[in-house]
This record gives sequence, C-alpha cells and structure tokens, in this order.
Amino acid sequence: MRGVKASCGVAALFVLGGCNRHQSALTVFGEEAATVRHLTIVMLVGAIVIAAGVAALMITAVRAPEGRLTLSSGMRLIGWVGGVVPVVVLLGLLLYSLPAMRPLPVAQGDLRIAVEGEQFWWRVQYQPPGAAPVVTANEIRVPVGRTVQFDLTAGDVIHSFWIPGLAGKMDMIPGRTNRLIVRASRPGTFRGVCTEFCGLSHALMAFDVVAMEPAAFDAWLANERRPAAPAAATAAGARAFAANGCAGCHAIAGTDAAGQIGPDLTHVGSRTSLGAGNQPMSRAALVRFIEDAPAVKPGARMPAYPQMSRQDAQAIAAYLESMK
Amino acid sequence: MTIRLTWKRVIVTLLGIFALGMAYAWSGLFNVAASSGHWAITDWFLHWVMRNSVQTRAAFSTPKEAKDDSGLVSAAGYYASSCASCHGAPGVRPLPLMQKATPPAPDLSKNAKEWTDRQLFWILEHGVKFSGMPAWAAKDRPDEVKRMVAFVRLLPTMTPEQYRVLAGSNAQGFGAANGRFDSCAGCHGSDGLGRGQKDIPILAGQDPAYLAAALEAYATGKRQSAVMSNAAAQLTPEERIALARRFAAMPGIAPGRGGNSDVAARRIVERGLPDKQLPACRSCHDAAGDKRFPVIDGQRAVYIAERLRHWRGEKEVVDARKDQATMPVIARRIPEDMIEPVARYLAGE
Repeated sequence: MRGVKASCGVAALFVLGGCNRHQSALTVFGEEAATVRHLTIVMLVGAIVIAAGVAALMITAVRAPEGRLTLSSGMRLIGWVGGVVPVVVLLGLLLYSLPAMRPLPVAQGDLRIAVEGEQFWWRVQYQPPGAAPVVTANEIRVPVGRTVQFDLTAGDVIHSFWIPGLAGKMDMIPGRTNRLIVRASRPGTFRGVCTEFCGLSHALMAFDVVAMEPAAFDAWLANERRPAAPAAATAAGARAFAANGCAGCHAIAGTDAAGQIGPDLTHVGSRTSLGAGNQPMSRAALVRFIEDAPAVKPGARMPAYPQMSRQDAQAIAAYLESMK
Repeated sequence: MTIRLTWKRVIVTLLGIFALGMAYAWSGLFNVAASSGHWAITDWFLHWVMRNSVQTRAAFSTPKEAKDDSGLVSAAGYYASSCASCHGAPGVRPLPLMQKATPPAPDLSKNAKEWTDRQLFWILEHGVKFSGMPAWAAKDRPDEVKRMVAFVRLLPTMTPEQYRVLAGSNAQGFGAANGRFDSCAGCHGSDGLGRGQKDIPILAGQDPAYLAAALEAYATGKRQSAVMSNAAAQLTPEERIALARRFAAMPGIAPGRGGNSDVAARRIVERGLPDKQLPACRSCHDAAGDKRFPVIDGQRAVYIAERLRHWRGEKEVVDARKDQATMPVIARRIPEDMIEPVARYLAGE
C-alpha cells in the first residue's frame, strides 16, 4: 500500500513538469478558455462531492449490522440515488454547460486570421477588414479585447490547432476550413501546439502567441505589411541568400524571393522563436537550422545544405536576424 | 582386437587431431609461398568451391539485367587503369609480376566465356576471397558494375585497336597516367566533353569550385564511384584544384544551352511544383547572378537522370531513413515519370 502511494507521489511530480504559464489551460488569457476552466472547476468540485457521497454510502452499508438492510429498502435506494439523482444532476449540468458551446459572436468587420498547418509549421495570413492580407508564419499575434476569427485548414495531413490559454482545440483538415472564434483578455506571450499526430516532428510543431494591446497590435501589423529593412551590413547575407537558391522555397517581401513552399521570411528576425516554436530566435540557432534543418527537426521538408560554406550560413543568418 | 567406440575415446581422438593440426600450423612447416603454387587437387578443390559459390549467389543476389552496353568508354578506362595490370587486355600483356600470384589472374579473353552476365556481375561486385580479386570499390553503384560486365563480355572478341579506341589515353599504361590530365581525358576527353558518351558528364564549362569539391568527395568516399574514387584518391588537393580549373576553362556546358519544347518539363525547371513542395531547378541551377551550384544546362540527359535516380534511392525505404542533403530531398519530390523529361529538357536534347 505504501509502495502504491509512493509511486503515485512520484508520478504526480512528473505531472507537475507540465505546469507553466505559457502553455497551460489553467493560465487563461481568452474568454473561451476562461469558460472552459470555470466549467472544469465546477465539474471537479461536483465530482468530488459525489464521489465522497458514494464512499460514505458504501461505508454505511458495509458497517450496517446484520438484518438492518432489507431488499426493498436497498432497491428503493438504488432507484433514487442510482436513477433519479443522476438524471437530475446530468440534466442540470447539460443546461448549465450548453451556453459554453455557443461560439462567440463575430461581425463582418472583425479580424480574420487564416492558419494552414503544414509538416511541421504554420502558414499564417492576417486578413484585416478592408485591407490587403499580410502573410507571415509560425507566430500568431492577437489584439486584446477584439474578436478574432481563425480560419483553420491543412495543406498536407491532419493537424490540430490548440492555444490552451486562449480556446479549445480545433482540427485542421485538408480540403476543409474550420472556424475558431476567440477574444484575448490580457496581453502576454503564450504558446500553442499541434495536437494531432502529423509526422516525425509533430512534437516539435508549436508556435508563440503574443496577445497585444490593440494599438500596439495595429502598429505591429502595419510594420508587418511593409518589407523589412535589413541592416546595410548584411548585404553579403542577402547575396548569399540568393546565391544558395533559398528563394526557391522562401519569400521575402521587397526582394526577388517569392517562393511559396516554405515559411515567409519577411520579418523572421522579429519572431520570438525559430522553426515553429522549435528554439528561441538567435544567430547560432539560425546558422544551425540553415545548415542542417533535418537534424534540428527530423522530417522537416527543408533539406540539409552540407555543401554550403560556413561563411554563407553565417551571412544568411545575420541577414535574416536583421529582418525585423 | 577390437577397439570399443566410446564418447570419451572419440572426443580425445578429435582433440588430438585438432592439436596436431594446430601444432603443424604453429611450426611454420606449411608453405604459404606463392612461388610454389597449389597442388593440382588443391587447385581443383578451391576453384570448385569458388564456382559453386558464384553460381549459387549470383542466382539470388544480382539484378536480372546485369549488363549495360551503353557506357563502354568509362568501363574501358577503369579496366585499363585498374584491371589490366593483372588480367591483361587486348594487345596488352599482364604485368609478369602480377602473373606470379597464386592463383594468377585469368586471361579474360578466354575465361569470361565461362560465366553468365549475372555471375560476372557478382564477381565484380563482391570480389573473390583468397584470390586477390578485390570487391567493387563503391557502394550502391550497380550501374558501374553493369557497364564493366558489358566490357568484360566483349573482351574475347575485342581487337587491340578497338581496345585502344575505347580506353583512350588510359590504354597506354597501367594507371601510369592516373592523376594526370591524360588520365582524366581518357574518358572525359581532352576537350572535357566526355567523348560523346551518354553516361560521362561534360566537365568543360563547369564551375571550377564544384569540380574540385566533386573530386574531393570522390577521394573521401562521400560520393560513391569506383571509377572516380580510384582517379581522385591519388590527387593532392592542389592537383584537384588545378585539374578542376583546367576543365572548367574549356568551352562546353553553359547557361542557356538547355531547353526544348516539353511544356511539363519546362514548368518543373522554371517554376517547380509548389503543390509537391518541389522548388524550381532554376532557383539554384542558373548562372544569372552568382550561384553556388553546378551548371546543368547542356549536361548529358542520361547522366542527369542517373544522378536523380541515384539520389531518390530505393522505393522500399522511407524518406526519413534516406539522405537529407539538398539534392536527394529534391530529387525525391520530382514525379517519377518526369525524371527523363526534366533531364532531357536540361540537356537540351
């Protein structure tokens, strides 16, 4: 018995490893996630009360002196506690939880963000009302207090889009667009993940989520719309980018690079992480990813470049890092 | 008197025989001299074992089409520089030194007839233990072995004149020219155009840095080819660079030399297939501006297609277990039926 308790305790310690304030359904920053958390707590408390009641009944029955319990009183008890009470409780719970299933209302003028899951990254397109769309990748920014509609789909296999602190999961299915409507309630940097096994690097397919004050968001989106202005010192990197054929797959607004196969790199230097939440953005991480992406992300669609010179890799990394 | 057979006696006798054998081996009385040759019965037994082994194994582990007649020049050049010293060639005697081996290498103008194509393939691919016949010096290059099978098949009827034409400057000596321009020219031509051979790439006009890198890759075994690794392994880095520059400076392949009227192939070359995540060939292989990749415009179509197929690898192996370097990954995204058209388009054929 003590062994069982000890192993439960150790197992619980591992579960604690999942606690963090970036990617947790308990650290909410959106209305839907708040409703879900509230519902979870109500159900948890209710479940504990019911379990305690059942346990108390069982103890009473086991300890009752012989002859005290009769068949007819037992059947009556089962009829009430096993039949009527569950019907009432479950019906109440259903009526209580139904409103939570209703999606947030969305208007024509709300921001829409189209997200397409790919092995193993996210193609993101902001579609603000009355303006041209803005393409980016692997990072989602949302304005606090405004309703946002995600149009979710997939390019290759089924993925699933989950920002635990913002809303529930939604599958991304090739050939189909699923809607998810959210409203962030406080600013901060959070994290989302793919929650449908999609291949070798499924576990490495994540993204950062930044909830921003509306004014800051508008300024960010306006900057995102403009081509980045890389530092003049990185001209060698721009040349190396072209000479190594990177534009075959990647696009950089304001240059000849217009490839649509891989993530758009226009403002890659301003993103908080690299390789779809794979590692923090840094020069060294960029060099490593450029030289051998499959080593960092097994199964990544970007090939390794064993023939590329170290100078080229470093120059390209410096160039990309300055794309803010 | 009868001796009763007991387990103990049997074991003791066997151990005694084994101990005597070991003592004989330890004493050094056995003669390993090549000069003394084999007894006739030993010779017969060893050859009998070898023939049986080759026949059985060739039946199970060789391709059905074990011969390829389309690339005799590269096979002849390799034969001249690596095989002829032991086996001889039409009009060329084997080195007397090599004929003093036990067993001496057979005269293929007579001996080749004793084997089927698949058996020759097996011998060339794997070599023969205890005989001095080495295995093929490259992994995963059945195409090279097939060409050599075709060449060996022709030896019984080949005239010295035909041999000299095929092997080019390499016919003059056993690897004496190796590592020199003449040796390269034996197959690639003194103009770097590959002597009109479909399987030999054109070197003239190629990017010198690429040629030097290719020679280094052959020398270190990073790029597999028995023919080219034998040639490249003997070069110093300076010699590799000098040879690369010399061939690169010749007029040959150049941007704009490719192209034909195949619309589907042009689409892949110029724009790629984004829905298959295949970037355009032109995003890297284009000399407009300063690119880091080899020139493939006007290269031989058979060579390009062969390279692409080699990069794709076996169909039965999942991509994750294959090479993740640039071209292997990209080659796997080209639809199978478009490999030939794309190669022909790039070649301008």
